[in-house]
Amino acid sequence: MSEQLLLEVRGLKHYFEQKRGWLARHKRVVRAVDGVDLTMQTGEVLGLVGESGCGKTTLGRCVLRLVEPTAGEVIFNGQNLLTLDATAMRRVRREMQVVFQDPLSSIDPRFSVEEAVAEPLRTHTSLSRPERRERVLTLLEDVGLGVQHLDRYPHELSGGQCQRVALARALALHPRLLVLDEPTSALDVSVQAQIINLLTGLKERYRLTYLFISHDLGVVRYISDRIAVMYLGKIVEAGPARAVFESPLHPYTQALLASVPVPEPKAREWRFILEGAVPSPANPPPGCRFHTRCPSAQTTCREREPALHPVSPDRQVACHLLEKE
Amino acid sequence: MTEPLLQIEDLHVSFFTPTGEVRAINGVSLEVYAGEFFGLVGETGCGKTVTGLAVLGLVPKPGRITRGRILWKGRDLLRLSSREMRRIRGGDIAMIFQNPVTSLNPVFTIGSQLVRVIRLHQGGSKRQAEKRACELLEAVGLPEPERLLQSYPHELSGGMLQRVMIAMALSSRPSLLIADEPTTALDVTIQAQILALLRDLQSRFGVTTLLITHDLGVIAETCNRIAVLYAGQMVEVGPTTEIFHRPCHPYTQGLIQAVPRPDQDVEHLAAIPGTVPSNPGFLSHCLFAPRCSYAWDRCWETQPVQFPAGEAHRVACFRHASPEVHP
Repeated sequence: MSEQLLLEVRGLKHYFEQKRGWLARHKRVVRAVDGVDLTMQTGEVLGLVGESGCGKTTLGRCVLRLVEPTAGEVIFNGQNLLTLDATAMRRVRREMQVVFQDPLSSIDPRFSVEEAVAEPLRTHTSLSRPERRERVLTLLEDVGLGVQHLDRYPHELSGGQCQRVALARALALHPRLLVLDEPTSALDVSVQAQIINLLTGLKERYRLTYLFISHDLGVVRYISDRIAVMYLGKIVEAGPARAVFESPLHPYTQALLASVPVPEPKAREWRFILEGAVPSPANPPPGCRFHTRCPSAQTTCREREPALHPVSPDRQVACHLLEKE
Repeated sequence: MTEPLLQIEDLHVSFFTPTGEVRAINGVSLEVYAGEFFGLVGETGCGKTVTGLAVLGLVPKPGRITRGRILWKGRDLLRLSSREMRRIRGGDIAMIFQNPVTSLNPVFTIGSQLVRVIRLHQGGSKRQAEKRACELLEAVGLPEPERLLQSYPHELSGGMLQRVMIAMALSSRPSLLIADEPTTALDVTIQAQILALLRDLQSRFGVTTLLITHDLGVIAETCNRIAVLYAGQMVEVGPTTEIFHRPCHPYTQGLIQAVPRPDQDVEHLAAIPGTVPSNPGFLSHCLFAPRCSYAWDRCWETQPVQFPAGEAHRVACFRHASPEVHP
């Protein structure tokens, strides 16, 4: 893996207003992403994990500028995306693509497979119709589909096949970064395994970098080189996948990993169960956002917010208890 | 050997759609004993939910049970009148579903819905029912039950709502609780809480539980005994530890290997090639044969029955047919 910086996110924030109550008179600000720093090297798979509402999907969309961040910088390949105008952004979009969770709703139901995969080629390249067809066929073969699927429509395909089509379309312009937002969550385990293996193969073949967003810790461990754990809009821990899974440092990471049911009946006995639920991102607790559920919270945790700080060359954690004076 | 609490014999369910008959369940037979935590596991469309619904007489139209018996404490549920069935459903057998938000009426308070169910099955005054409701909410680990009774469903989180659903299900002191994907809509940390609660109810109050899920991790953590379904048939049944440590059916083996493990590094994820047959009920060969690396002539000729594979462990695969039966 080459040590070349592809993406850097600095102080990224995304707030949105929520209107509630009678005639939507009460406004509140939801801090979906609240100051995230992140780097990605070319060729790596960064797994972004966290529970629903932690901001992982919003972060993914901010990186692609599918939603406009409130503050911060997204530096892709040396360019700050947030300063680009629409034309320049359009050019950059060819290099960064996205695959969503539900393949059926991300492909136009009136498009045949061929039309769906050819669409990016039509809008971004000047290939002729036969050239496009040839490219589409190569792409379909690369994702494990074939000529017989060209004229099918999304409703005629299984969930796994739809996700393959979505992948083929994302790869059509040979992007460098692929944001995968829960790409296997809607699939059954046996099909999920097929898609994960496909993703691993495609990464080598197309020399891709993945931002892999998922709540499934098993999948993330399998596919990722590095992991970032999010809680209430912030990254609480980041590091190499294996190290984070084998010796989680942040109490939230520890609790999250302990909560995952393991397909091994003997593992049943010891269990650390986190109490309570995730607080609302519209009204996050002061200090460390995890202190309301943290078993080892202290006074400082309630007062001061911990920053993400390095604990070893390749690991960072945001926890007062792990700060060295 | 004690009598099973619930016994499903050769259950067949078909859906009669305008485009023809779809055979969803093709001969499921299983027993659930009192005090057990029994798991029904399988992928989408394998018939696990329909099996649960069939027990309660809730198979949705245009579906119909076409063959088989469902014995509840020795009585055939399929022969009961709808009135008798109504008394058992939600009374002696209770069920909770995947999405607690859609299971509760958003315009009534938790209290009014809970009290109505309690009075329906047990009678008594409103005051008594409210007292019982508070006890139940406390038993499922919800704080401040009095205040909760006044709340509306939208004021509660998903995990809390699922606890309310469990309280409601337990209100009639059922002998059997059917839980259909009770934690699938919840986050892992909340899932861990709900699973701990279900396990606790089983050990403390002896609530027999039939857990339906696609998640092998959830099954491994909770169940004593499990049945694996594939394409509307039961391919393997046995004690949880047996099935996980010595899976005998190629499908069970494939399924276990296909799960990415959060607790250990896996070199290569073994996917099961191919897909589930779309209308398996009309096939005469082993339903897994097209995806099975062990399939031989016999598997394409007839369908396997359940063969013994160990103590209380049965598997529907010809590789386990004893030599006397199949020379």
